[in-house]
Amino acid sequence: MRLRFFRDSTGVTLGVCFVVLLAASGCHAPAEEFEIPDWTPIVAVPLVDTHFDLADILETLSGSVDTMPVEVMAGGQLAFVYSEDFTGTLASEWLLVPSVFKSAELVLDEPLASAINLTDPGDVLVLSDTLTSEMIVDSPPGALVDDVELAQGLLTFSVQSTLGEQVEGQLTIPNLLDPMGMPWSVAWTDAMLDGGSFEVNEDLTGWRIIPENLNVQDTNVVRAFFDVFVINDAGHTSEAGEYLAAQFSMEDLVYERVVGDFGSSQIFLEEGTSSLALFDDRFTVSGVALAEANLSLEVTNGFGLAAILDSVELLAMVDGVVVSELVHTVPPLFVPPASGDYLSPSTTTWLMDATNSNVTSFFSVEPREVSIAAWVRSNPEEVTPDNPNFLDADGYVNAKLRAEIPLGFRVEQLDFLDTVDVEMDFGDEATELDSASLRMIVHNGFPFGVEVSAVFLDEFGDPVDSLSLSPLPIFSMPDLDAAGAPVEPAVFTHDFPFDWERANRLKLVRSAVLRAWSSTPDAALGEMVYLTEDQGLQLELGAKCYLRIAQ
Amino acid sequence: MKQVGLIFLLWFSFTSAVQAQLGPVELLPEWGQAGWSNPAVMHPSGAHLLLGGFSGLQWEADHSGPAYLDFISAEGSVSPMSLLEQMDAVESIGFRTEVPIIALGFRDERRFEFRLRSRLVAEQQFDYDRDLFDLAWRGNGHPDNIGRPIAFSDMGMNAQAYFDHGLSVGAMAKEDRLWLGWGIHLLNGVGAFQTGAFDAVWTTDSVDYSWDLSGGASFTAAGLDLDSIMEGGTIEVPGNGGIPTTLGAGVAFDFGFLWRVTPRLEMEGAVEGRGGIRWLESLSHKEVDPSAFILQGLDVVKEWGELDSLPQDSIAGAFEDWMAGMQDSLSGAFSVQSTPGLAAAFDTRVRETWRLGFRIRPSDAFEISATAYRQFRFGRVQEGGVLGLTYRLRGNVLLHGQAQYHDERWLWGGGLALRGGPLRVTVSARHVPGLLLPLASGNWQAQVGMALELGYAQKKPKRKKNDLGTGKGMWH
Repeated sequence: MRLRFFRDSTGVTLGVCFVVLLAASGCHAPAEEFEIPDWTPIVAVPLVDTHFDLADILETLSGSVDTMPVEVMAGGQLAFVYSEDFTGTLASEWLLVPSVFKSAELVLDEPLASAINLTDPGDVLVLSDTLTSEMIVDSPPGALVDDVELAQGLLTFSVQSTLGEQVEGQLTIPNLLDPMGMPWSVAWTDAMLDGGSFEVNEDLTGWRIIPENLNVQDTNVVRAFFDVFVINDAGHTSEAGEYLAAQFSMEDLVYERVVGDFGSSQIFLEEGTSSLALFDDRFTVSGVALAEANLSLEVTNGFGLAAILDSVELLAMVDGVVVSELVHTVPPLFVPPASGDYLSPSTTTWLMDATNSNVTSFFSVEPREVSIAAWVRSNPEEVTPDNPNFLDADGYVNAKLRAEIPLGFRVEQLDFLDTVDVEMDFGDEATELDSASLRMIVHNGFPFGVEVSAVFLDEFGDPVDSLSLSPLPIFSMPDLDAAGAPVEPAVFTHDFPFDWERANRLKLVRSAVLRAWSSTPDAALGEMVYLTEDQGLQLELGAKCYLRIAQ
Repeated sequence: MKQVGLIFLLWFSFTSAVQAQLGPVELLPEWGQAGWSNPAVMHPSGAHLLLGGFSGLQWEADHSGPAYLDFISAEGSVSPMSLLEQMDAVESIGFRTEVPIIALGFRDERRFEFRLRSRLVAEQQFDYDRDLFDLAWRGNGHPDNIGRPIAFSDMGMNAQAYFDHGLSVGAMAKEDRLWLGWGIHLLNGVGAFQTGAFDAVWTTDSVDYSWDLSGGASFTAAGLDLDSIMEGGTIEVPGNGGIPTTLGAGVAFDFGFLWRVTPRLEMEGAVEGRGGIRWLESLSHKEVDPSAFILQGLDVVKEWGELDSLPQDSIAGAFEDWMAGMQDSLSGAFSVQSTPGLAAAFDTRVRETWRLGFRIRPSDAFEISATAYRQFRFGRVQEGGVLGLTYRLRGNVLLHGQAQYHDERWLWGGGLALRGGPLRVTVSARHVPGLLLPLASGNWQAQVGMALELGYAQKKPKRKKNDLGTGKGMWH
């Protein structure tokens, strides 16, 4: 088959046309200049992804504050803890050893002067006497002291004489023993009275006083036996009115240990008031209730005597008016004595909770003055000679009050309002950044919800911007299980648009009015929620940056 | 920035086209290489000899992505979004160079032809993902990208250079009706780089904007020291300028048929280059174990907890520590590792082309051809069809034009073969507009050759009076 169309003569023509067609199809001249649109990529980048739970918060706060008011209890539940160390009583304040002072005077009367004058020169006339002193203990009143080991004290013995005869003498205090156990005594010669008097001092450090408790009337008795030797001087005639006076005293007595029967007296623990407030005046609350509270009083007894805690007064006051008074059914606490010395004190605890008292009513969201007073009383039982009381110089009785308020509560409404100073600086406008959107995602694992609003004000107090048009439920309310714990975290997601126009507005901000609303689920129905250490928050921040890069 | 953009645009403008084409070199016997594409096709001369650079240097650069005018208006208005919209999921940029050494062939009438050829082939292909450009232009935060796994899993670089020593025969199987042919290529590899696996996925979470990067990769090379390259050393060309050492060997085969249905209608089909090279020496291997890296933002509580000083005084320090940690984590997750011991041998395929078509000769001078083809190259498949119109003027002049349809576009190619005596000069291009001014589309494929031909047999009509001379006295 041979088609007429394809004759050789037409082939060249067709070929030329084909070449022209081929060439023409490529004859597009490129533009001399290109117009390239701005490069506007959108870059999404995660900024923050962090999680913290209440255990983290407690750990952080415990490192930055001296006292951490919230502690983890058994089962991970958190509790607000208020603790206070009572003042207590030191042994040196409670039992005061009195000073001992006694004096005696020998005055010659006519018969005695004549008797002296009638003796042969060189003969000795002996005059004896006993000086008796009672160590009356005022604090505690009526305390009987059997043995006082002195850490400090000064004994002073002095004699003044106008007798013209030679006079010598001696004094012995059998109730005052030196560290070797020997009674104190002193003897003087006539030569010591050349000046008419003399004085002898003794440092009583390490000495002991062993008073005598003879009967009910004669207690804490210290005796001194006194002998005077008068030798007739031939050259002197004694006359009535001449005298010899002697005094002894034990002062500045500080004991190392005291043994005896100290009787039944109060021992002070504490007396004062404290302010308790869970929320300050920036909060407005309603329908808030705590699930429970308990109170413990731990008494440490470093005295060598038994005591009983039977005097605790707890008052809650508002504006000076008592609104709550402690009522309880807890039996008095018997406080055993220290064992051996003050270094082995006894420790006992007195517990009150909602089952045996009205202690929960003392803790409220409203500010309150709480007054507390507590004493123990010594020797609730009779002291036996085989088991006497003792006090060491460093002995003490004190107590620690600890109030635990488990963080189980319900809040129908809690409002927060505050104005804070704010200044924002976003730097110079970056031409590459057209705008941005900050995304915040909050996974709320707490059993309550919080809504927040913020209005930004300029220096004149006029609003220039706000966080959003409506309050943001940043902490969305999670679903709770039967135990009042969140089933799973509730998620809140919000985008904050940002451009340079807004940045310029925010640069004018000088303050921000922050408002927050919080409540717990079904609070009006009495549903309680509980905070545990594993409840936490996950915060995610991401940014979408709308870039614009001019070509 | 503007300069970078212009370079970017010019690069596309000069390389935008489709690859995997057939042209006069492969389709027409006058070019002397059609017998290698289809061993059943015989050269028009009784013998032909092609020497070195005269025998037909070929170079091509092609890009499978959109063309200039697909995203740039005549006025120069550039539309990156048009670029993205017209890109396939994976596109390629490839280069191929054939440097002939020698080729010769002898023919016994139309009954039998024997051919020998040696050449050096160097080819390279870089596959890239559209998502790469999408990510760069629109960003990971664009609504179309955020939350979507952006995969670069088909990306990779492959390259190889080899000597191809071939023997090919074509023979008449049925008198003037059917010709069959086959060829064998002995391949001596001199260098290769292969992306064994490349898996990279970047997902930006649509909720919290966290990044999830996962993937792994392995690279193998022969004749290239990857350790030296990674340490910033120079890339040494195999052979160092001398005769390259043979690092791999392989075999490839050709098969073809030509069925003359009628004197003016022929059908043909062929498979060219089915085979590959196994690389055995001077091997090096690098891999990145499959791993994942997740960027979730600064863990403020953790960072602050590790600080000794107050947080507000150390935010910058915490952020720096976090950044350093992220970088260490990222580099640690995707650390490049060397395979201990000797690297394992690996295989590469050479370009393989399947084609099927027919030729119609409505007259002695004209030939119309239609060929469908499928081509495999470095794991990618391209297919299309070629319509050709060929004009022959007494065996001395051949003018060929072709229209190639691929990927919903037409490409216009052509070739010219001029023979004077025993010398034939050929030039061709598979995309002529691409050479002239490649705006609408185009790749660069050019061929120029000169052959010495003997025994060009052609029945000449008797010379009539006033006819122009037809080469009397020339070596016919």
